[in-house]
Amino acid sequence: MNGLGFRQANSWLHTWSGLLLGWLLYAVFVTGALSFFRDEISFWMQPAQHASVAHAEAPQRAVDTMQAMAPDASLWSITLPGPRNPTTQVRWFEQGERRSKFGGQSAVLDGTTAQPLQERASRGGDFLYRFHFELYGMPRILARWIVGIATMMMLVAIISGVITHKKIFVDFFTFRPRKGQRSWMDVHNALAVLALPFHFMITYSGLLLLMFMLMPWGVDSAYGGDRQAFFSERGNRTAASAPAPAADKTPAALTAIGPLVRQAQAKWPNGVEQITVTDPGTNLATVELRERGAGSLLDRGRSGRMLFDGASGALLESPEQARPDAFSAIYNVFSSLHLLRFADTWLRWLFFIGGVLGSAMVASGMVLWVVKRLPQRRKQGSHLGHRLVESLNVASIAGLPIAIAAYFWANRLLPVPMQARADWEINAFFIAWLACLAHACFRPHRKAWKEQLGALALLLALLPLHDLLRGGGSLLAAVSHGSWVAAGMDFALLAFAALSAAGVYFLRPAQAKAGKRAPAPAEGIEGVSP
Amino acid sequence: MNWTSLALAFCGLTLLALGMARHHEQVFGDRPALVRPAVLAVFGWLLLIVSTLPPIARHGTSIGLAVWAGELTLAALAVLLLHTYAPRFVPPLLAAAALSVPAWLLIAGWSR
Repeated sequence: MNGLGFRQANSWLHTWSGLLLGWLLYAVFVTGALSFFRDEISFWMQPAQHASVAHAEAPQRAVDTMQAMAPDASLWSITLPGPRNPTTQVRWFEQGERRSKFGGQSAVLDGTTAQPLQERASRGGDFLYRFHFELYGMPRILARWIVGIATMMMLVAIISGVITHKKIFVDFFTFRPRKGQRSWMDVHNALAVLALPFHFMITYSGLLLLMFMLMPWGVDSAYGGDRQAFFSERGNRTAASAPAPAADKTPAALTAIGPLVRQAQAKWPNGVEQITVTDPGTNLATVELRERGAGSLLDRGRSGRMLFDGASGALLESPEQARPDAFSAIYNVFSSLHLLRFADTWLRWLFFIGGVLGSAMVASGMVLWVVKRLPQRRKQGSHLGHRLVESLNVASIAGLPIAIAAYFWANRLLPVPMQARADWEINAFFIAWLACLAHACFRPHRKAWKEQLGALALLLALLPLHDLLRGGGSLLAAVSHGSWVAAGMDFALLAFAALSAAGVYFLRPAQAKAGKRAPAPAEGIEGVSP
Repeated sequence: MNWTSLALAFCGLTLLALGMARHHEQVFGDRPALVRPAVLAVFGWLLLIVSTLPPIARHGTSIGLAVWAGELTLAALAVLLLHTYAPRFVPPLLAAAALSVPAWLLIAGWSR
């Protein structure tokens, strides 16, 4: 590296750190952007539930259903219909059963009738969410280290990129289409700089989130190895409450839930998210209501709670929320910004667009690597390394979305009673991805792009159509009962199908292009520019 | 959705762009600038700062700033695409966006 100036050194660093980790970062960005809509994707992957509509009487009806379904349970947890999922989700624990987040038994109820709805075995949006930071099929800790190192390199790439392309601040809004390598450069710069606050924030906060797992030594020494104590102090989590002694329990009717919910709704603008009933049907019953979403990033997860006596319906206590200290506040702001648990639909869409721009930025950087070396390859003949990068570019940039589309298709096509159904949805994802890799290796570069983008457009566009033909479909549900959660997903699928189709259009042969526009010496994905 | 903040960010970024020689030429060709670039830049930055206020008023400082950063990105995308593909429409859309802010405030009210 001797003899290189500061900017050349940064350029070298940016090129090679970007190339080596680009494919992984692209996958992390794509699955991360989709994870902002994790709940919506999970709901979309349960088509039997699409007709559910939230109803004002949902809390009382859900409690009635629970009384019929699990009268002897030690605890009911009822998550009410909300803007991201119009069904009621219930979970209950038998007497003496350990209460954990995913334990006990669960069911999904219709938001209006509170009757149980059919569920198909599917990991839903959770698979994409886990893939975002734990990949798949490897030890969790190892995968998090890999993603953490990639995140670190992303931060390096952002900073070295700003130094390398320092002209981005002079030609801020510049995009020169149909100019080959220059156009790709402009796309890469524009995508980077337009969403720079987002890129920096999401990378930095992602690193911060992984930091506690990757480098726990500071926390371990301060808390004497009791990491749980650290997290409960940060998150103000209460340990799972121990079941009350069974001594003086006598049967008693549960108070009506409706008035309690209305009382809470008067206080909380976002309404009630969750109802937890302990010892239902006894004189010791309590009803805890939890507020939906919190109003500030500073107090992540510290949404309001109200506790009522289950028999009399009297308000027991509403503990005042303590202000978080400065360190917690900073940690909370960054982790909530990354996880977006609090956000309304508009912010969720803004962040999703930011994630898509980030994916496109990484992708354009990798295409740029190929395009830049194209004249040299033309002169010197093909080169195994160059060909490898070309193939991997197609297989990741177009192949990963195809794999995700295959995952969605498997969700619709696999029979509901099938054994290991959820696993086969994931297998479909990886089989499709491998097929894309093989296809990209054996087809000429330009044809591979065209065919994969065309396949992607078809796969995405046909999904809503398939639902429509199979009866109902979310679009119909949206029009007839105003339930837009699943329909939003269908519109997004159609939008991305249109984007891929546009990609195919830009890849058409140069002659066809010359007929429509002034001929341009295009040099993009081997002769094409955006 | 904060229309006022989006429109203000769009106006601010457009003024900033018009203060740059390359983008001024895209829109106005070789006609001389009516306003000095430095003045455009000052007003552009001022509008960007003002555009943070509606989301902060609506969502609080922490979430508001996150919303604002996202809206800034959207506005910047619009400015870029306009300058590339339809530079003729920059002045009329700038005027329309600027006028839409008081109109929106009158209709929706500042109350929320």
